[in-house]
Amino acid sequence: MAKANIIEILNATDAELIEISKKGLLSLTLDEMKRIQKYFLSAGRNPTDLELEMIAQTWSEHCFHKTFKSRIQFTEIIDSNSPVMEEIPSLFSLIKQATEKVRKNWCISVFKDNAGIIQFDEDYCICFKVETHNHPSALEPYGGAGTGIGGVIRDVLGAGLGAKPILNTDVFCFAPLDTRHEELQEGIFHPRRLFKAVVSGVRDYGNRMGIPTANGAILFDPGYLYNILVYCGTVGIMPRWAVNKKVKPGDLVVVIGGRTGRDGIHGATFSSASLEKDIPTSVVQIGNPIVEKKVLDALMTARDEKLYSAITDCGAGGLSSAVGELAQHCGAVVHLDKVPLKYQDLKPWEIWVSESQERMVLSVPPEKFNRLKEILESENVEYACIGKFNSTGKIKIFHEKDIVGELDLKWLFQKSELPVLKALYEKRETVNIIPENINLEETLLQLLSDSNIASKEIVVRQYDHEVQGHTIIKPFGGIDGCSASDAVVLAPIYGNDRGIVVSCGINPWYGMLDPYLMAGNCIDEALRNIVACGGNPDRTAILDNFCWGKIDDPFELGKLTRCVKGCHDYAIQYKVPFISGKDSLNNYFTKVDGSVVSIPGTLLISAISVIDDVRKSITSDFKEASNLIYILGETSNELGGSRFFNVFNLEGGRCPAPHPEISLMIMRKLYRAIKNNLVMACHDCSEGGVAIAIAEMIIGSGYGAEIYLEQMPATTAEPVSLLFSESQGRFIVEVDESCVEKFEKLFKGLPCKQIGRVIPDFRLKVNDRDKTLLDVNGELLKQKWCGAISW
Amino acid sequence: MTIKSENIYIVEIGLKKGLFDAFGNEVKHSIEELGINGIDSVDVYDVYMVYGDVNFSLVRRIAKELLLDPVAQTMKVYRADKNQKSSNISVEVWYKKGVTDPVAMTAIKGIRDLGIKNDIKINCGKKYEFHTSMIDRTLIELICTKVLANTLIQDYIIKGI
Repeated sequence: MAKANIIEILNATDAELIEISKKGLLSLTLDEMKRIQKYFLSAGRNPTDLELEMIAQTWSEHCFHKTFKSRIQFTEIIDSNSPVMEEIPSLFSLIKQATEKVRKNWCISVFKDNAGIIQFDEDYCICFKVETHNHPSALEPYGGAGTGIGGVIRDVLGAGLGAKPILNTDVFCFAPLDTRHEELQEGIFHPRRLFKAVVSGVRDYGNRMGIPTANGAILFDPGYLYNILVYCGTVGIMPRWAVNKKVKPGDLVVVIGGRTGRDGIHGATFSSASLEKDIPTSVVQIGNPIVEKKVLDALMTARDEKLYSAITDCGAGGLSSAVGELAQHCGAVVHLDKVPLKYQDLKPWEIWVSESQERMVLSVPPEKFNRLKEILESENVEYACIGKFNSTGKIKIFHEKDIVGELDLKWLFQKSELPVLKALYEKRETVNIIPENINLEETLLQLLSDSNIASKEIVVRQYDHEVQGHTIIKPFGGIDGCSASDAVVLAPIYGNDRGIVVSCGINPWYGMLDPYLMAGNCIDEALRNIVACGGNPDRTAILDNFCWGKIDDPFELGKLTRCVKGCHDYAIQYKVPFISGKDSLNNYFTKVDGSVVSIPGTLLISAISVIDDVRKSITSDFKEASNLIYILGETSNELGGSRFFNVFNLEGGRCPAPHPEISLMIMRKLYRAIKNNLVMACHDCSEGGVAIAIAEMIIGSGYGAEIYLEQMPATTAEPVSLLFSESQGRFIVEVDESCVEKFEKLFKGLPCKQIGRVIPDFRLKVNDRDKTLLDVNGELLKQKWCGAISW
Repeated sequence: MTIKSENIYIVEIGLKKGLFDAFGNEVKHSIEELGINGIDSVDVYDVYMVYGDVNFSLVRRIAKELLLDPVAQTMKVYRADKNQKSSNISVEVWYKKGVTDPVAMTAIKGIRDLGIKNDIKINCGKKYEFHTSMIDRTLIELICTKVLANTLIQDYIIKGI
């Protein structure tokens, strides 16, 4: 058996240090290598390969989030104004500040555990985490996406003392499915292959785990040709007492679940680097959901019997990261030869940093180990006691009788001196041109079959969204189950009507115009989706997931900074706290000619709301002819970044800007209106604007609608804007005639207008004053919307 | 591999004739999306390479009791060094060494559960049999890399050309 190698660094020159980092795929900078050199100089010895690996992994962008923790010198030039300079303590602190300022007492654990935790009721808490698995999914889409969902499920299993996963969410970004094969660089998969394999990966993992996958989005843009985005989220429920964990010195280090192999070695450091052409096989991870399902079942029993005092998952960085984090404030001794292996020829450092899937690490009081063993054996889960926590402040790693690593934990996790980063943002002035002589009907149908708007039913139906039996508002509803819901509503406890609403907001096209507004618009959209189904805006928490391009480019960092500033400002104005988040940076590709292609900076906002009574929640399809149709919120000429502009290949334009104050007032009233049964159906206006929102409400209902555009509260009278502008904060609402008085009274003083009626004919008729602008058969609408994306 | 080739067996499991092969159809569809027409149909088989402490009758038993769904599937067991006669072009796709193979791991566990104590190893793969009159190795190679295998983690073997 190979022992640890000693790496000569004490006398290494700067150039040699860089070479060591590069050769070992450590992704450590010269400053970091020097810090390591200093540490080992005072220790009077050279490090082992395992020690270097552990340090590299702990300090990697993926685990340490250097960019989000660094000070930033931010220069902003808006239009032709003089530059404004600002120093930002760190991006992470901005997000955290927002949550502190919003201050909601139902936020139980934010930004410290594996997932954000909020209160559900007196007895239970809900936790939510969203992760990305972009690099692995680009290389091996099926395995990468599967292990993406598998990993985030383990995050929830490792939050507090463990939550039971009750919902998975997924959001994917691909290049258009009709991309020509000739456009692809060597080594890049066709978007259609990625699309199918990613969906299959999430499907097979989620379904086999018995967790419903019931919310998400799929986006298509050429900007994702070289780097796809795969966001996976999991919601879990846990008893209130299980929220806190604390490792006790003397506890055993117990690893359970999958065996350790060479899988995913260097995943953490690799994910901090860009995609290159030559990738080692070992970075690929393959999932085994059956193993994770058994781990889940065993853990839930063990948790309820209080058999362990802390738990965390083995994610990026493997055992090194998991044991390191748990031991951070105490210390531990680990025996690597005790770790169950897939094959025997692993080197100690490989065992330590391997990212083999389906493993969890527990801190188990010795007297409880026997009972834990019984449970694990009864569920057929492999386990091993690999060491002991102590109070030495050090981690000491053995392989058989040899010490293969010993590091001071305080030094390892100490906030290092991070360099000050420079960020630059420049906003271009753009003109808002509206094309003339447009065939409205053709445009509407074209938009309905735009892959970003069209029905994703073909994907959603592959997911089990019913398993566990809690799903109240499902991803699709309406008379023939083809009407898309704005959010999913779950009642996670049998016999209890209390529930949760989960939704998301994402729109990279706004970000191309202004990342600051994108942040606001994504928050607005996520909240709108929540409220449209009956969620409470004042009981909603959000999560941020930033996927960005080449981050050492000051302009990319500038866009990211501006986006984070938007998150901060708008979260405060909408009074929603961030409870968890994650960043995935350096999503770029270096072409053969050396040019760099970054993805469009993409922010995903996921939202979760707790509601008192799921029976009050509503869907978006029209319910009855002759009911009145209202619009809430004002429409402006904001076509920049819209799907309409995309159809006409127009760039620039005015990006929609959120109006948090009015939006929040509307959402609060709408929440009350839905709770008081005043609303029959509700749909938010997002991509494609009012025309698409109403068309979607028709498609799933069998009824039609007649709309009068001149009634819309608006700052423009231009029909194209009224129909397709994507102004924020708007809802289409169906109200029964008997409730009109109460409804209108509730919204007095706010932009709320009746714009038409539900009609018995299955068609969409739009009038502007005396002119009929659109009169389209419902079947045609349905055919375009439902049939656009094929498998 | 140090094992003698006469001790390596292949188990091939496919759908019974007449049943709708959803996976095969999907593969055909994906090939057509590449712009390659002329494949009439694709039959997909799960293939298992069973080796180690085994003989023919034991492999047959494992195949029959563990790997086969007798209602919908048929099976074929043969020694790896015995060439199978087939007039069709086929492609086998196997995981590269060192890549985690969850199905194989589960199969080995299943063998233990059958009460078989022998030291048996399994690799899992897929076999695609093409019904076509098109015999063009470059096109088949293209199908392999674009549809059937991810060469980062899998190897493919083309047979019948």
